Amino acid sequence: MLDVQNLTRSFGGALALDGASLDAGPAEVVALLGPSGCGKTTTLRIVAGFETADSGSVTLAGRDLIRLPAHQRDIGLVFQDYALFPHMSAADNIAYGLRRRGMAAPDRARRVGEMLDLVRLAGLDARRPSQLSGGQQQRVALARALAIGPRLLLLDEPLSNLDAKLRSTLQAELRGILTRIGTTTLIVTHDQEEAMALADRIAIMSEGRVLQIGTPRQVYEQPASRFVAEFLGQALWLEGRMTQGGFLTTRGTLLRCPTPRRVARQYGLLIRPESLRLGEAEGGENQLSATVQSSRYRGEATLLDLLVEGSAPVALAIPHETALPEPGQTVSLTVVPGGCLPVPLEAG
Amino acid sequence: MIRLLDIAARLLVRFAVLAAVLFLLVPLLVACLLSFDDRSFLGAFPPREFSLRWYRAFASNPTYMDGLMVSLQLGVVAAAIATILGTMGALALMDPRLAGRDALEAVFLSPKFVPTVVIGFSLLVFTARLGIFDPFTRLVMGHVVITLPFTLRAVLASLIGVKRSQIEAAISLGASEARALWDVAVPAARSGIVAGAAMAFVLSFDEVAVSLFLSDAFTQTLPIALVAEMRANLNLTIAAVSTIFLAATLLLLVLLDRTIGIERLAGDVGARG
Amino acid sequence: MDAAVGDGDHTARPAGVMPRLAIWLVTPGLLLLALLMGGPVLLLALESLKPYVPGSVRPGEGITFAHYRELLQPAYLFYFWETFRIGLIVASLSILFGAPLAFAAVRSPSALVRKFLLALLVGLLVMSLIARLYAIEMAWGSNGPLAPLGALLGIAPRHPRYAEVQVGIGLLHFTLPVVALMLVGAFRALSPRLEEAAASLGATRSDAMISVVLPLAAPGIVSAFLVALAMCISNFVAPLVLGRGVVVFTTSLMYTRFADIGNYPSGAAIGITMLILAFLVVYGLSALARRLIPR
Repeated sequence: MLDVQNLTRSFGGALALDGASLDAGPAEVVALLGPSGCGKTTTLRIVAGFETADSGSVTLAGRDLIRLPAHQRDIGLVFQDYALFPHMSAADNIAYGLRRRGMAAPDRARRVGEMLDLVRLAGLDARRPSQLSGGQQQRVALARALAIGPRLLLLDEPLSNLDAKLRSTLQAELRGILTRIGTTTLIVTHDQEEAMALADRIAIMSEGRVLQIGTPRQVYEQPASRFVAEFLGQALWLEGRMTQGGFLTTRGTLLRCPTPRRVARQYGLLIRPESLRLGEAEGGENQLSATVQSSRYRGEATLLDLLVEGSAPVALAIPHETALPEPGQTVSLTVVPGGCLPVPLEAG
Repeated sequence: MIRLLDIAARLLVRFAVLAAVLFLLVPLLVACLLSFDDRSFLGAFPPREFSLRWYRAFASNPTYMDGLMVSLQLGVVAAAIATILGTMGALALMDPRLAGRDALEAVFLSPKFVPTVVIGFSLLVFTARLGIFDPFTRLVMGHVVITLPFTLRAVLASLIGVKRSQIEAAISLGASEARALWDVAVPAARSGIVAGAAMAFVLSFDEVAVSLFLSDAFTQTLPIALVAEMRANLNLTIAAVSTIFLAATLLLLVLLDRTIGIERLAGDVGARG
Repeated sequence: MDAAVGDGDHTARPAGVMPRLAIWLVTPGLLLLALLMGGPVLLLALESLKPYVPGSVRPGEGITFAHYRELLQPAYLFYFWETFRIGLIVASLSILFGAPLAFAAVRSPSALVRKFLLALLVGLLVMSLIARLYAIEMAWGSNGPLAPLGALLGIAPRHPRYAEVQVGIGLLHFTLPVVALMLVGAFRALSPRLEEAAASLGATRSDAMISVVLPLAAPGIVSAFLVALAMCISNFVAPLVLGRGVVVFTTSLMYTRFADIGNYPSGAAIGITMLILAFLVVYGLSALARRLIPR
């Protein structure tokens, strides 16, 4: 449905987009995930028509969008600040796109009613945005964008303005609405948890390029590069090289691992903290030694901050019953079988 | 010791405020009182006998009444033109990414820095060269020039709350940029448009320098008529006029407070000076 | 601004967008200003270079700087100086009294006081200056109740300088509301937390004023001062109504050139000089102030 190819864009000498490409199929939800400044918002704005690309193409359902002005693109947009019209009621906000399309009043009213039911705000149609809570405003913004029945829905950091509790509730609801509506959706976010919860596929962006697109499982379990590996979830990254027996770290530890699936010049070793166990195992294979930096109490477990072979600290969750090592103490870690993954340093 | 100095300083400031308020108000009150003076000459203050003779003198003077008519018509026409052009300009200038935006704003505000006598005189010479001799047309030209900065600034100030994302949201829903501005920005600027128009009217009504150059014997604004008369023969008619203006101002204030609120208006007006 | 924040891309974006709609929106206003102010002022400049033919309104042939040279004579320089001097005094007084007014209007604990002061300031802003000037004439003039106050300052109504004082009073009445409202804006921008912080650290109210509030409000104060100064030196009505022919501002000079003598080129030269001086005052002094007061 949506096909973005090789977008480039500079702002006054600074390269914001460096050949970014992605695609989204019918009824698919794709999350554009990356840190601040990676170019995801610029990509969104180019697709929406509020920004021009220096080169590259954007097609929606086969139609070339680049030539089309923003107000003719038939794309639904939900802004980060919701951008509700303050002088109009919720119902009028939702009806705005329908008015622009010349829909008759009774049809409009019916459609607005449908949308309000969809986002579960029936009864609040006469309220002004200033009289609605943040979560309610977000739903009105969503209803307004969906009312016009767009071919593509663009969401810009949809849940970032909400507090944590509200966010998890709305995440589930949003997912439900998107599935029910079946519109191709592109979500821009810097929050990986949000991306994982809402998207069918995730496109990881950094420095103006899309490094990898895949299902949440694919990008988490088989990251294409160090950046992707470290961006998603927690990662222990060990430097070294591939050898006959496995991966040899710069500190001289040999760890068994499968042969890399991607061909690259340099590899690092990715170990997720959930694959680490405190203590030594039989056979002494895949052992690492670590220094305890500190420990933090979390409701469900205690987090142990460990420095492994000079890497950045990783947090290992251990159950409360386990004996807690002291800061400064050296401990042994075992990697569970299959827990080591060689990952290219740079995306291919 | 420091405490004493502090208390003295604060008393001084309180005194300054009081002095300033009295300085501003007392002449107005004096004029108000004098306007009801029954004496036919400008006598010592305070008046003993009261009447409405000076109000009658004002209302029955054809020169003043003609001048009033001219001033009212001029004010409405000039304010209308200035408000339309100022609103259009403000709608364009509200986008901070616009090329040369700050320079454009400076150009629109530039009449404020040109002395009104210069504007009046230069327009006189200019229109004479072009063969435009109708005084009302000339007056409209001059008054629009001097009121445009105020209408622009008033509308621009009230557009501050409109976020670019709202305009883009309207565009994404199918409105062209012009339509989006009309649906989203103009309603938000309502208070600024009204305030700007009111300021333009008042400014035009009170303008002397420009009007002096561009009026002629048959088409005069009220201030010109008043000044001409008072220079020849100072009498208390002017006190009556002052009091009428005072009453009109008070009315306007009450109206503005009901619609916009004095505190907010003061903020808009004082924003950039 | 704040459309779709998140990337920080927007801070790097240079201005460079001039959509067609914007052009349509600004052109009428720009055209009007160019035709009705730019053109005429240019024409005035040209007019000022033409020689004056006595007895005729039409100027002579050729180009001459005589009218400008004339302004360098001591008599004229005196007028310029007088205008500037009175402007400086009035502008300073308007800051001196406007600042406490503005501060009270913003920070007074009584809502009634605040509303009253703001209503007073806004009301004066919209009230006819002519009406006010004549009210001042009546209040401070020979028969007026405030004339004895002038005696307090050492100047009686009969004194030749009294006209000057009256013009000053008139100008002050004109500039004080404007200055006070500008300062209201400047003070509003300051959070009350700053004064509270100063108080918690042991500063008296006056201390907090001098060390915290005034330095932060300084740019606004300087702006207000310059606006007041520009307003004074360009003002026409105050010397006209209250000057009794004794106080001559450059504005009055320009008018007499035109009206009484019919010497358009000389009037034009005075006008152009005034324009340049007004610009210099505002931009020159503000640049100077920016140099001296770091923001």
